[in-house]
Amino acid sequence: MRLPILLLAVGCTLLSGCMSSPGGPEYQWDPTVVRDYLPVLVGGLQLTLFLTVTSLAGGLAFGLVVAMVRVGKVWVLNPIAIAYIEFVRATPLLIQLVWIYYSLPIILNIQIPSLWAAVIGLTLNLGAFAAEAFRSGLRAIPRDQIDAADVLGLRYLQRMQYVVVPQAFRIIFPVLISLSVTAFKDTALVSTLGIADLMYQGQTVASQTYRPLEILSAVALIYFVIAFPFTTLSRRLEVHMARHLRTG
Amino acid sequence: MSSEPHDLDPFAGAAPGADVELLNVTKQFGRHTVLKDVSLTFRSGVTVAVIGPSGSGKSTLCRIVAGLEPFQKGTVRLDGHDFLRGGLRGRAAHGPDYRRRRLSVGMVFQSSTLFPQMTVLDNIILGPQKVLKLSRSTAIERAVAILGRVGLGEKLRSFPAHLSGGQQQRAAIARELAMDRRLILFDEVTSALDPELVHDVLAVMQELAHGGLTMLVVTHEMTFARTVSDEVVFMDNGSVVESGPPAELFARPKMMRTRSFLDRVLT
Repeated sequence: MRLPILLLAVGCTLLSGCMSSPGGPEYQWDPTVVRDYLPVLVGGLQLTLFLTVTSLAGGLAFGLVVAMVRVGKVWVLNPIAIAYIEFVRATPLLIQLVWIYYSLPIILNIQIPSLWAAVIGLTLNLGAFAAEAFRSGLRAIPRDQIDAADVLGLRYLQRMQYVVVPQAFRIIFPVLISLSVTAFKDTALVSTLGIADLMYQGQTVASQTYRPLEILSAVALIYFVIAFPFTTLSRRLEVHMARHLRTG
Repeated sequence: MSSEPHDLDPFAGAAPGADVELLNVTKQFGRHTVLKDVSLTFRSGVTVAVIGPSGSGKSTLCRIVAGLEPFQKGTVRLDGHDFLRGGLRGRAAHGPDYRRRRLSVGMVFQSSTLFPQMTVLDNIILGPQKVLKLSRSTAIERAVAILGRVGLGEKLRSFPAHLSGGQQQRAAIARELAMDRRLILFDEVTSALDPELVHDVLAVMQELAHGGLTMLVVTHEMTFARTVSDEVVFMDNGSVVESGPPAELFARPKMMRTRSFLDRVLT
């Protein structure tokens, strides 16, 4: 708990140190540009948050379905699910985004806005990682629990709904949070599709003002301020669950 | 249970004194034969204790009758109708009859199988609500009565993790009772418990036996087998070696293997 705050304090001290005594003769640290362009950055942040929320909702839901296909070894769909997961996990997200943006219009002969290409790309990417997380959670449920639900007369989807998924969800909750934080930061890659998210606005302002250090540091700080509470929450939950949640 | 009038009886109209029959059941795991030609017949309302050394196939027998385990040969019949048949899927027939018979068979496991994210009450009403389609209030009413019978009237709102192992098993029994079962299978339900908790669970089972519930009890508790059951089945190495009323089987075992097993566990 103390360590990140300490790191943050050290970082701030370094930054302010740079401000008061310029490191080199050419670069004068100028925090006022951040203040002047903050509204632009906040505008970008809104888009970043929109992308995060939509890809999280889509990716987690899709990931759960894919995981159920994998665990249930559903005919024909299972090998497709494996191929999808492995392909997504083993290739760079940047290329996946570019590929969807440029190839979907060719394959389907429809022009989709870059924003929707980004949402689809991020959703498919998160979906693959979430599927593997869900799968590990689903496999962690003791066999007897599922058999007992079966004997009780619950059908497959009911067993999933009432017995398996709630327990699996608890087990993998910390993993899901850290996946979500990663998904949040990964949205920065959509700036390459010309989407005016936080990263894109940061780069634009940085090159317009010739102040990349100030602007990009501020952008990083914004990402940090949003992500940090969640990484902390994830760590605390892990400790809490190890202590309190006994199953079986 | 069976003495109470209720409109949920899944076999309403079936002949009284109907039977549970296992006919020549054979089960293999790969090349290993776990059950060899096992046959077992008993009337409704009796308690059958299955005893024998570990690895003798007792638990597999339970899982087969519960419909959890496919088997290669033989038939399981309930009330004179084919329920499970040896073969690829193990079901005698699809459709409402299979489902109805399946729902009439309950099982309590060795490990606690209460769902840990639900309270005891929610565990008990899940099946009646989602499977038997009872209204929530009716399900709760019945659950409260049943939990009182197994001595857990105070634990409705507790989560399984806050119950002792013995209380968890009694709640698991209550969950089966709430489903109005024709037959309940008990698979070594006290084997994982601390010795001082075993008694309460066996007391509940004894009460059920006297109440006329049909029970197949796989157990290491020889006192229970001897004093509570109506019939004892001794299994060894995948076969039924000997069976009979407890007074006879314990006092005058006919087979050498039965005798040496009883000598080992009763000393």
